[in-house]
Amino acid sequence: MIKKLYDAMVANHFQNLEISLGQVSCRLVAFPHDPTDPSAVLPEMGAAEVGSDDLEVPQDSEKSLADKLVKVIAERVGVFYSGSNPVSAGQSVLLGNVLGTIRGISFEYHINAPVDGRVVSIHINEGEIVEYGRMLFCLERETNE
Amino acid sequence: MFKKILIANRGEVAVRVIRTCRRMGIITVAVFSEADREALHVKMADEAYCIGPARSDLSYLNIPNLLSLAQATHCEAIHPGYGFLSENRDFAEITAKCGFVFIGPTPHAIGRMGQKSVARDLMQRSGVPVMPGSVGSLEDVAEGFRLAREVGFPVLVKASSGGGGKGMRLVEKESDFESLFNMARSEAHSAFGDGRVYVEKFLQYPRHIEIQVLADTHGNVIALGERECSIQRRYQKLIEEAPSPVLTEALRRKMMETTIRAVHAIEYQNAGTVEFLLDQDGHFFFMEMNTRLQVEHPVTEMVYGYDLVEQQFRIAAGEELTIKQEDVIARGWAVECRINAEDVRNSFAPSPGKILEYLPPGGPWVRVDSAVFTGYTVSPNYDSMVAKVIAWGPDRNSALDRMDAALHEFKIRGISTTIPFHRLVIRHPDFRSGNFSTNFVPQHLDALIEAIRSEPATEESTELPAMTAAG
Repeated sequence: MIKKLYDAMVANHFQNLEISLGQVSCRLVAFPHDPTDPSAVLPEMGAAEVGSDDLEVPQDSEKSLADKLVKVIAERVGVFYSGSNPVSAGQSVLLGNVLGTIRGISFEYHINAPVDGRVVSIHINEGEIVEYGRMLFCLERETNE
Repeated sequence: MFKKILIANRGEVAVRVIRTCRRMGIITVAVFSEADREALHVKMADEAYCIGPARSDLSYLNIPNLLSLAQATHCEAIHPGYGFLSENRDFAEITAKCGFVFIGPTPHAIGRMGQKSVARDLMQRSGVPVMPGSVGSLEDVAEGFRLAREVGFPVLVKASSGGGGKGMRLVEKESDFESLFNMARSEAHSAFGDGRVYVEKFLQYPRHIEIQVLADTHGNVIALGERECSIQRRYQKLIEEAPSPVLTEALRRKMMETTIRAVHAIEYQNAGTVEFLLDQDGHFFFMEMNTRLQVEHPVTEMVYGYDLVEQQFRIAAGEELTIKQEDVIARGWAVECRINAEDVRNSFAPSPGKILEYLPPGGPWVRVDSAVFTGYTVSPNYDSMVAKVIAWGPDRNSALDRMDAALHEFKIRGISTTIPFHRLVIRHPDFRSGNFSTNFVPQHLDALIEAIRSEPATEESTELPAMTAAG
């Protein structure tokens, strides 16, 4: 409930929000951060390397939400294939699940999910050339909160 | 002819290859590392793809990524440029096995010429004079010492797999032999992964003369004269010219005929360069063969009027050479200065950084091959050459005068460059006289650096670590 309120607040560019429901009152303050600093948005990538700047993250998003976003970046050069069961946005994935394949000369490189989570967005199409450092997927890390 | 090729290189040579491709209607695929995202070759090519991080071994030397990209982009052939993978036998071989044409010689030829002692043996058997010294690689210091005495000191200890002066030591007296032999061996091992070395006679006043050849797949071989490359610092060429001021027509013909004979014998194909040392009495000795396009190829292009990159493409595509040896006629004189991002005042230390202003020279008979521009950042990850200035004239003096004027006009602010050094050499009476050897730079270096240091500081050089041409 509070998270939804916070998201709505950020989406509408409110810095503060106070709500009173009967005897309960609540004040929310947007978490300040420098939107030009990618480390403030995505401070920890783990197995998913940071590199591309084209990830559309709401500029004033909640830090804890931003923390959950994980970019999957291409480390190999070749052609992308999604396989027989292509992943789709919104789909849940587990650590190690194959998200797609990069095929090159004499190799086939499986792109594995670096975390348990949900596919937020897909940034590559079937048969497209994959260059080094290209963002392929954006995942939302699953947490126990 | 090829419709689409991949250029497995960066910088000015990638730009140079793109220019010929554009003229010939060949589509180009450029590759770049993360450090080269804003590079000129990336902007100029029809397509460009990132192939790895800044480190060369993970990008420009990354064979799986290069070939995977060639396949993904439907290229027919790969031009390796110079440096990087251009003389890598494995790369040439894998390229061919993957179904692409390697624009260069066969893997076999690269492999044989890359092993300096093998190349020396082959050349000797083909009738090319070689420097007196060991026939094969030496493993043992005692054997090396015995041979050095036989040849007579001073001797050079050189890496069997080497080049560019790495793994090479000059031994002037017997007492130094053991330590310098071992140093060469260990340097060769760390630089090339191969500690084998050989010993050869050292000439006191040698000139570096090289012969450019083109050989097609139909058995035709032509030589496009010589290049004089004696102005070197630590075995790195700084100034090259064509023709050489000291070659007589008879000696030139003899060197070209010898080279053509050897190229036939080793069944070499595509463009190549055979390097010789020339002594004061007109004797020449084989040094090595470079199985690629040379950095200094423009001086040959300016004097003979042929586009060497185009010839590489035509040969690789299986076409027969249309240039006959009798058509190869030198016209005038050309000189090239390699401008590096280096601080001459500080022992030629690399001077990477952002170029705040780049104003290249122009006008008739001046050519600039470069890949930098105002706002470009010279990366510390790669070699320091930022431009090649080439000037042509009907004779040597007019070519040098035009070079002097071009260097004066050339302004690069924001980084230090070797432009002032080149101007001093171009104006130096010994260089002007044509009476010099590979000792020129070592002999005059201190005086040249002192002259640069004593120049009045310009506004640019005070405020920025830049050195523009001396006024």
